[in-house]
Order: sequence, then C-alpha cells, then structure tokens
Amino acid sequence: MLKRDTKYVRALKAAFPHTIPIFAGFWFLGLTYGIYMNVSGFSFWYPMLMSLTIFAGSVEFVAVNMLLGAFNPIQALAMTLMINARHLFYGISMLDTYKGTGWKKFYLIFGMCDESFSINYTADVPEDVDRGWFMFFVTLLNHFYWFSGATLGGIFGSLIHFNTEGLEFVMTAMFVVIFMEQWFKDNTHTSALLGLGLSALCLIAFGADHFIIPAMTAVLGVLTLLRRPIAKGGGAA
Amino acid sequence: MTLTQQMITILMVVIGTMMTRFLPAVTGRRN
Repeated sequence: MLKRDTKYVRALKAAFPHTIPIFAGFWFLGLTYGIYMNVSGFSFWYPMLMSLTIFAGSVEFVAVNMLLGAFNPIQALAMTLMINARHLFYGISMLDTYKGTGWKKFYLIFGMCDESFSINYTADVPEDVDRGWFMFFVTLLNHFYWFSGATLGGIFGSLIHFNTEGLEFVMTAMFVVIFMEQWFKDNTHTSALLGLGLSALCLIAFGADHFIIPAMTAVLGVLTLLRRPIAKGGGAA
Repeated sequence: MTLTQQMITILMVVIGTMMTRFLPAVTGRRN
C-alpha cells in the first residue's frame, strides 16, 4: 500500500509544477466564465455542471449564448463539433502516448484540453515516475482549476458590485490571445492566414449574423485538405 | 428556454465535445 501511495505522490509532485502556469490562466478565466454565467442570469450550478462535464473553455463561453437564444439542439451540436474539431487532431497525436495507461485512458481522453495536451505531449517525465499517473494528474489538476474557478465565479458573481457591462468581451479577448499564441508558435503562418482570409470571405458573403458556421466549415475543410503540406512547412497548428 | 431544453442543449455540447475527443481513440483501435 505504501509503495502504491508513493507512486501516486511522486506522479503528483512531478505533474504539479507543470500545471502552475495553467492554474493562473484557468482559474482567472474560469472565474470570469462563472461570473459571466451569473450575470447572464444562471445559477452557480450551471457553470459547475458545465465546467465538470464539458471542460472545453471556448465552447462553454459560446454555450452561454446558446442557452440564452432559441432552442436549437442540432445547431448546438454542430457548433460544438466545429469549435472542438481540433481535438480530433490532438486525439490522433496522443493515440500512442495514451496507450497502456489502463482505465486512466478514458479520463485522459475525456479531459484532453489544449493545455493538458501540450503538457502531456511535450513534458519530459522523470524515469522514476509512472507516465500514466503523471498524465492523469496533469489532466486532473487542470480540470480542477477550471472547475473550481468556474464554480466560485458562479457562486460569488452575484456579490460583485462593479459594473460588469462588457464582461462578455472576455470571450473575444480569449480567442485573440489563443490566436496570438499560435501565431508566435508557428514558423509559417499559413493556417492562421487561411483562417483569417476564409472568415473574412464568409463575412462578406453571408453577413455578420450568419457567417460563423460557413466560415468554420470552410476553415475545417481547407485545413483538413491542406493538413500534410502545412505540417511539412512547420505551420501545423 | 425551459430547464429541460437547457439541459438538452448542454447535453448536445457534451456529446459534441466527447465525439471530437473520443473519435480518434475509437477509430484508431479498429485500424
């Protein structure tokens, strides 16, 4: 029993430092998401439930608007598939890495957000640490940061008395930051420029109220078709 | 939107997210 406990503690100790930067980002963004849901009129258990079961930041922000709009489950499913389509590529990359992790594999796949993927894909796990448990704790800690931030934001959002007008802009800001991170990470900017260009074309063609779905379909289609040449050029993200 | 409709919407988002995460593992195992 002692040996098993030591194995878990070693993995947790190795995983925790990797997740500290994520804690700062997730906790603040999670709080903001919880507050945003609160000021949008939802009880704290909505962000609590959604952060626990969905655990995909961008789509959770979009889901607030889905819940405030007209009931359209098919559109909700389609939007989610398009926003989270990048997870398909993460999943393909992690097929070998997650192999042999036993029951933990289910949770590792369930909790595979952008940040957990990048840590688990790139981290050098010490030799005396079980890789499966290391990845499990990275995923669990990140999940907990997001869940606790969103729940606290949902609970204490009503106590905030400053003017929250414009708080929903955090979603736009988050997407801009993600875009900038990808821009700085890539050697070439083919995929980023394709995304901008196709979105602009769809905006002109379909108008501001109806361009998101055609734009995301076009981006997904073109990037899937050009995936190999883009990856060869070093601009796969 | 009623509570049931909200829960269905959230369920759709959960299903969509899990489809994108689990599809490579499910299809990869078959190949």
